[in-house]
Amino acid sequence: MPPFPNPQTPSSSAFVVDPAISFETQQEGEKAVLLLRAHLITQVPWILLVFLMLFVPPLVSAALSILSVNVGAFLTGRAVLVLFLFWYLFTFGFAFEQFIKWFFNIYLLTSERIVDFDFYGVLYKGISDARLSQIEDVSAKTLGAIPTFFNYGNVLVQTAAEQNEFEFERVPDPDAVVKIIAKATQGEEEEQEAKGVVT
Amino acid sequence: MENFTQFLTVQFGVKAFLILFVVFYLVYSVLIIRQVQLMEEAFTTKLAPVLKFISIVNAGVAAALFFLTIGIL
Repeated sequence: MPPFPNPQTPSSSAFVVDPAISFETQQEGEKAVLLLRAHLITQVPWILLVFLMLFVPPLVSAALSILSVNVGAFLTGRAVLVLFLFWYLFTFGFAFEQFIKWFFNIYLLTSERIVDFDFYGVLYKGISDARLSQIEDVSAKTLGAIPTFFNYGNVLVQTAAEQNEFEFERVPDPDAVVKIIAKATQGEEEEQEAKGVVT
Repeated sequence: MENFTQFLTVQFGVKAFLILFVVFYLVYSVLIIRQVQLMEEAFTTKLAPVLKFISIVNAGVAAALFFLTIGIL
């Protein structure tokens, strides 16, 4: 896998160089360099669960038939229909929530800073950031057989900012992410030096 | 008569259960719309309007199911 995928990768992917996005706290002249989400393979458990949920109504019907349970004795056809509709709506809602949780939980590297967008559950939204000049150390960690096989892991960014630690969890190609952040940090340092600013 | 009472009880139980859960689901789907709006403001992509549309349709279907549950059960 090349460390720097095609810049034309859609911004809905998990590793996007030069993403075509804008964000709330974006400053003038600030450009998004790298957008990261959890690796797609980490979403497989809920996708499988949704797939299984789709088969629950027919499986329950089949099981009741095998057990010779006459549903019609205590539920009308309409009630069964509404139960089915409700189950599929619930399945869709579950899948949609899981998708937006993945979609909006992003880590962003810009020309000025790193930004961590958190979206946990329905009512929690958190955005934290640190300037590139405040980054002290960046390291990657890939633990386990599946992360090694699919090449994803955590990237730990230590900073001198208010939040002194950022962890990009289960992101694709963590080594490439470390290289890109290190390169951006170096570029920022050189820029600061050229301006004569002591950090 | 005993069968009828049993039928009525199960029917009533199913209806009450469905109405309760559809109401919860409806509230939840409205919260999802709000959350998608907030996240869209925080971070804008080409896909965000599509997600917003899906969240609205989801709430609409939940509302329709609520009226359907009240109406046909």
